[in-house]
Amino acid sequence: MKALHNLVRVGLLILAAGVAAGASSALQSGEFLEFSPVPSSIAYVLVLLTGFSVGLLVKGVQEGLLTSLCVTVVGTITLFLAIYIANVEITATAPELILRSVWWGALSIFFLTMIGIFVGRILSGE
Amino acid sequence: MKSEKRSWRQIAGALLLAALLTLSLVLLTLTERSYAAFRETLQRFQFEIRLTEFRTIGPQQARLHWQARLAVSELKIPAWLELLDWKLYSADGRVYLGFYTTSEVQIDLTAAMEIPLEAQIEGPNFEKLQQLLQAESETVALLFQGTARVLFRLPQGEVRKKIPTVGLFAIPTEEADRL
Repeated sequence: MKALHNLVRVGLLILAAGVAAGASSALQSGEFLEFSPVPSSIAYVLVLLTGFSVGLLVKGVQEGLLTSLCVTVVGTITLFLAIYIANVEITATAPELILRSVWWGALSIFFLTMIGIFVGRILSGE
Repeated sequence: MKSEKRSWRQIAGALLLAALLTLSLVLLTLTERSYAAFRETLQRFQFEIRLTEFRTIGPQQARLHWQARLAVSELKIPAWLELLDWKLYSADGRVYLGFYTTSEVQIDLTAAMEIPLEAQIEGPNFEKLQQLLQAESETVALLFQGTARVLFRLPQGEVRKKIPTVGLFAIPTEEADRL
């Protein structure tokens, strides 16, 4: 029962953090950059803060690392869908046009989330 | 004490994550709306060209006045016309009648507005037009083929787009007879 509870907790955490990181990362993608109400630096700060909040919620560095990887996967899917759906007429025939944005977004989600988690763990006294 | 600290951190973490999730989704929704509005505006953005006046002003000169009407019912993104240049051809595109431009302008665009355009046709282009008018027994139609450079002001910057502008118009017969 405790294992199931833990699984649900981590699952919800990954889902919430992944969607938040992916949506924040989409704000700095080449497609949306000029349309976003906030500058790209704020988008990166939001991803970093998402990592930080995950760092406060995970238990241990190992769980943090695993969560960071899963957040990157969920975040990348969110980012891809956000750009894909907005450009469906173009991307349905040429999805490679958005791959550069998705690749860069995935990298930034991974590293910023990781940094955020480490800072969160350090502040948690680990 | 340690358990209390952990609990406080977890509440802070959960609240922060919930706030970030909400904020990022709201910002993404606003961004996508703005992006969709821009794409929609671009798709519907076009100028309709109408000849309003054709007048001979000298032995080898004629002046043409057009109205470029912006055919957008609602302009959701602030836009400025910076330049409109165009070429004149015979209706079949075979006879080239010159290149004309408004030069650099800064016209604040609003939905369904009309912009006056003017060109003076003279010299060899005037002669070609004369030949066209003599060759045709009925009304002579001309082709207006232009490009409008429009500046759109977006939340994080400015974007310039080139909008193709095409119009077909006829020279009034009474004016054509005077040439």
